[in-house]
Amino acid sequence: MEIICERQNNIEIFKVKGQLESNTSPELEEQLMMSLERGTTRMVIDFENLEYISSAGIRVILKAVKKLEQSRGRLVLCCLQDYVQEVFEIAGFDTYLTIEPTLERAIASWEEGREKEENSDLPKASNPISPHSNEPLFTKGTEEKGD
Amino acid sequence: MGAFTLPIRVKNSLEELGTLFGAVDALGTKIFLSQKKRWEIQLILEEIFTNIVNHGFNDKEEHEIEILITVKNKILTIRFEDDGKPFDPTGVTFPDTRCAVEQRLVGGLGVHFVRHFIDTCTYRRTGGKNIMILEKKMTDQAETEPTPQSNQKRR
Repeated sequence: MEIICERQNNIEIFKVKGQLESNTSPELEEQLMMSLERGTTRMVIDFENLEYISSAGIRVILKAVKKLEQSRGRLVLCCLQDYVQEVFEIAGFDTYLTIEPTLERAIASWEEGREKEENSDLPKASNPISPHSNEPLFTKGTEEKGD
Repeated sequence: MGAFTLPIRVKNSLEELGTLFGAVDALGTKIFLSQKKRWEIQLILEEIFTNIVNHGFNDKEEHEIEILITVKNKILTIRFEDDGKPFDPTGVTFPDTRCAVEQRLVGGLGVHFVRHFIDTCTYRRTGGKNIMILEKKMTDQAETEPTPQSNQKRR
């Protein structure tokens, strides 16, 4: 197995080549964990040249995903070969993880993601605590007081 | 596809994975196997073997694991024999792949993969040994024919 790490647009990209099995998975785990310790929150794993993965490899990916959830970061996988894609599907993780067909789209997903975040922040920020202040809620009470 | 028999004897060490992967290569050259089938067989071997190595023994002693791969009448049979703790893979419940990730990580994922890629699994405990026999159909049809589940997912 061979791992190449690159950085682009503040995104850490790991290109994994070969086979991700019980003996090689610890090496990827070490690299991903080191990257997370450095404070990486945007991570892409490019599996274009990954031929084989077993449950040992899947566990490493999920460990990284869980760590990123804690740091409000995100991991995107891209370019999965048919067999690797199938293994993720059997595990049921294809719907849980973001999987993109190309590296370009994986990188672009942050631009889309940021727009979504900004849009969702707007209604939250302008959300008033009492939305209908013009409604006469206490008129009855004040009338009683007058008596 | 001709008949083929390959006995493998390995120690309970993950270093032996290379021996198993080499056996898959040998199998692939003896009988025609698509690359996808090779990965599937490699996955079956890795998951069962690592399960035995990681969970089968309480002691630090060296143990032997015997694996016999046979291909006959387009059926691949993998027989595992080990003297580890009793472990019946047919009794392992399926992980609920819809549940939270934390729960999925608990285990059973490897066995879940194996079950997906094989057709039958039998287990017996004889003379202090686990004997597991896995069968996988090697017909091309099985490879091209999508299962209802995968159909649904690719929709």
